Amino acid sequence: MAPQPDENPPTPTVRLLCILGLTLLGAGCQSSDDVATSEVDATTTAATGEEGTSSTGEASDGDETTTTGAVDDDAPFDLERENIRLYPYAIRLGRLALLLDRPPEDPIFAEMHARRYELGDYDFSQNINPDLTWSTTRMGHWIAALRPVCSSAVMKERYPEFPQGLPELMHDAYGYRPSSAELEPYLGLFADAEDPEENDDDIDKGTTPVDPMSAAVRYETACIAVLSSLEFVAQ
Amino acid sequence: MRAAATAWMTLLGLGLGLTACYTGDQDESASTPGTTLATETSTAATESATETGATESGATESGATETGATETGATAGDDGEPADPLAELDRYSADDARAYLGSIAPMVVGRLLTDAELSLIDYFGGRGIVPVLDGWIEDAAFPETVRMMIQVKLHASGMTDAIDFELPGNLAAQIARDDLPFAEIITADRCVDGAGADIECDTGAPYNAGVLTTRAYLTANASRFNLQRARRMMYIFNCLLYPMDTVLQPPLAKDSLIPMFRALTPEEQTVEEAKSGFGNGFACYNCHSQFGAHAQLFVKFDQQGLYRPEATGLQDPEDELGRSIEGLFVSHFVDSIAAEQELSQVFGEPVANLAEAGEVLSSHPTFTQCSARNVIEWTFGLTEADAATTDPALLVDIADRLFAESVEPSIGDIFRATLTHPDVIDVFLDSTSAAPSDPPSDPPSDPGALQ
Repeated sequence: MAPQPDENPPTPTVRLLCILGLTLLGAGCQSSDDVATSEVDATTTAATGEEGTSSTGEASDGDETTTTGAVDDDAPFDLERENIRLYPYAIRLGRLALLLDRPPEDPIFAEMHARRYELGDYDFSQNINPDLTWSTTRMGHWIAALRPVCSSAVMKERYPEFPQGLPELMHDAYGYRPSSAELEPYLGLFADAEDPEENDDDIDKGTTPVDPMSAAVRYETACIAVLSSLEFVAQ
Repeated sequence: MRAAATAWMTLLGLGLGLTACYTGDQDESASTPGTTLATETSTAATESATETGATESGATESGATETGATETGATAGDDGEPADPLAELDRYSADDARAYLGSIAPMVVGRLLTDAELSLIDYFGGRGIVPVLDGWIEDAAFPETVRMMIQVKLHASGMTDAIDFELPGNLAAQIARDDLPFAEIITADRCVDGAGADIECDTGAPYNAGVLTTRAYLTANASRFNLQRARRMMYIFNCLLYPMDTVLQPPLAKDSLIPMFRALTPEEQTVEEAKSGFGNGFACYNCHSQFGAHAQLFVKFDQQGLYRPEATGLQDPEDELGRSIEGLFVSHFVDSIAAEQELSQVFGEPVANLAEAGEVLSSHPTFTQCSARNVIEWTFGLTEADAATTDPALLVDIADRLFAESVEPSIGDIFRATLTHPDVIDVFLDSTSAAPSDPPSDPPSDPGALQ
């Protein structure tokens, strides 16, 4: 189920992506700023307010920041961490390919290739410079490019079922076993999805259709969330 | 009449007796270019940069500092002996090493740490950083990393109907893959196709100088007076900006330059176009007395990057300042004979063309220091401006360590020496608020096994 940019209110899938910090500007999130400052675990997501703004520090409410600490004035160089900086496109694609043990040219990455310049890749001969900012627009493209990957048979073969397979996916994607705190939002996501009406207090039931979460949607949502987190996409 | 050779040397500012050249406000010491330039403080350059605030010259680009113009600070041991690169890593725990290497692995080899690498780290702790880096340099992904690094640095990738902008990246990948001296990036007498095979280069020049003589570089940096080609060459490969230390780069004789570049004050500026806002309007000589020597190397290359032996280097009276006829660019030299020659000088050494210039640039310590800075910039995702603030003492120390092992370090050597340097590791660990732990009480039982 693809996010419907013009739908209002958002579908459950979009809502869940929003909750996970995958703010799709114009794709149904209530407010990217709201999400960025109140619901997002900044250690795993890149939610920010406006196009071109990649510093979560600016939107911080105190416990959300990607600034990694004060830099020693005497340090021989300054590791600027105020702004999120993506891995180059080729590295992001390469890591996805490694995750699935497929070459980057595999058809399941066709959407990724089609959106490569929107995702920050470069072609200097065409005056296209690399852009490693993590903007809401770029997040939208990344998520759209991930959808065929996450719904592919290859992914399902490697990680047959979520949430059981989430720790393994996160380990393979991040290089470490996730903590229970990192898993918690996902487990909540699945709990909500299993019985969505029990968790609909914040939805105007008069206008919002309840969209039961199928197993496939739950799977895709979790997959996209893991592979859109800063641990996977950002330096 | 002076002998022709003397005239040329004088023209090129090669200090054949400053009696024959314009001396300006040169310090007496500037007449004897030495070999320890990279470790001397560049007071003159700093003052000049402040004074001019040059923009056309590129002196304000990134606010960079001269890599080589600082006193060497952090060399290895106080006793003058090189530091043991393994022992100095004992201060890092396995957790430190895992965090550090895990963070930089994607930018170096495009992946996470493997189980085998994690095992090395678990067993050797901080010392495990070295064998892991060694493995990365042999990794098939490493040449592609170097390709990307050079592509981004040179702004050269892709292809048009006329120009293969992949040539610089192809050469960089080949140099990394075959463990060749990294100096070849600006000295190689060949180009490389996408499959890694040697091919003819595309400029038509009778010589080659690595990426410098690719149409990709030449067209991407084509500009009036060849300023951009010269500026990016000096900045990318030697991390030097104009004005440079005049000891390192002796200025051209003032009266050898076209009038607009001779001015040191507004009153001295005699060219109307320059007075009305071109460049700095004044103090031109500070930068262009050095710019001119490097820009001259490109005088035979037109704006399409093609070699044109008939180029004159003279101003086209029908075109804007700095443009010669038929897409060529103007020389800094006022003498028509000098203007059409590729003969010039780099760091005080006479060179016949860009190929010889590449040899001089790559053999100077600033080349290796600058390469280390570029590795830091790439690996940690710094902007060019942020990378420009890297402490020169660190870069000097990295280069010294490299030269202790090889006179012609490869790009793999440069990555290894840079990313295993404790000061580099400390920056990362400090930035993540994970200061290095105390040295382990039980060092690895067989540390020599890694050497």
